[in-house]
Amino acid sequence: MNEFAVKKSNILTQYDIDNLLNRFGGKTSSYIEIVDVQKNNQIIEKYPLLSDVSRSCDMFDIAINTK
Amino acid sequence: MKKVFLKGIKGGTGATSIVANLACALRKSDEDVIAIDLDPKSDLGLHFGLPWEHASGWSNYLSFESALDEFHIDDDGVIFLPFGTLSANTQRTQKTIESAQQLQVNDNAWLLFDCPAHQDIQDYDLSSHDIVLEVINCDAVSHSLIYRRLLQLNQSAKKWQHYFLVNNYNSASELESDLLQIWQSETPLLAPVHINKDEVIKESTAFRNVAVNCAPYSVAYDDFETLASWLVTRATDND
Repeated sequence: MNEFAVKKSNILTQYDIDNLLNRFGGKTSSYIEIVDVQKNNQIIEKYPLLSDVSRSCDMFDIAINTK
Repeated sequence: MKKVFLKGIKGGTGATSIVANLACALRKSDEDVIAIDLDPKSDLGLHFGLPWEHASGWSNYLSFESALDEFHIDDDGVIFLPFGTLSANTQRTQKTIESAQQLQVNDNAWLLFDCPAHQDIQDYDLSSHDIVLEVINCDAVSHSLIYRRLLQLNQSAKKWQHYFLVNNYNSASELESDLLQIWQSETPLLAPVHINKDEVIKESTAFRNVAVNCAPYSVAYDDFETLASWLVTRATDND
């Protein structure tokens, strides 16, 4: 049976992108950044110095203020 | 004039090599480029083929106007001014930056400044059109210094455009790829381009030249072309 209604392609269409932007992008962003937070946390935990810097910067809320 | 200040976040990051290669990459796009060495180690000229014996530069003269003979031009048409052998305080360096802007050149010319790592960029009087590229390497010390700088920038009245530029990136190193991944996704002000580790950058200096000239099919060539294109976009946004 043909499944014309089911999209099998992995490529995002403009419609998909607009939907994602509406959901996650906000009004001012024209792009979506996909971040693997779990992997980043694993990397930070792997290195004591990075963990130390991360903990201190959380206190200063540095990323939010500068971005 | 479009002013770009390059400095290492610490010594030995390769900022001078970037200035020289970037100057040539911009020149290849028919841009007028003037590179000025503000670093007392005075080695920018070596990348442009200046004879080793030639040690003098702007610091050896009482004023910028009297140092005009120290301007040189390389085979590609990049104009450059060596630092010289004497020391210069912050005030004198600032005067040199101001005087360089008065040079009679094309309004769209690029002024690239090779700044010493030890100098605080906040000592210079920079405007909102100025771009500062702070060169970093993918190591733990750079990571620590980036976040210290971010804290400092948060607390200062920063007017200029500040970016961290990764140089000498070795994708085969686990630590370096881990750090780059973290920086790319979490670190503010990271430039969207980076310069990969490429032996041709060091080799070309030994041949008194730059990678952009010596190795047109190298990774370094592509990286510097990308960096130049990105800077053109940033400078255009300023206009």
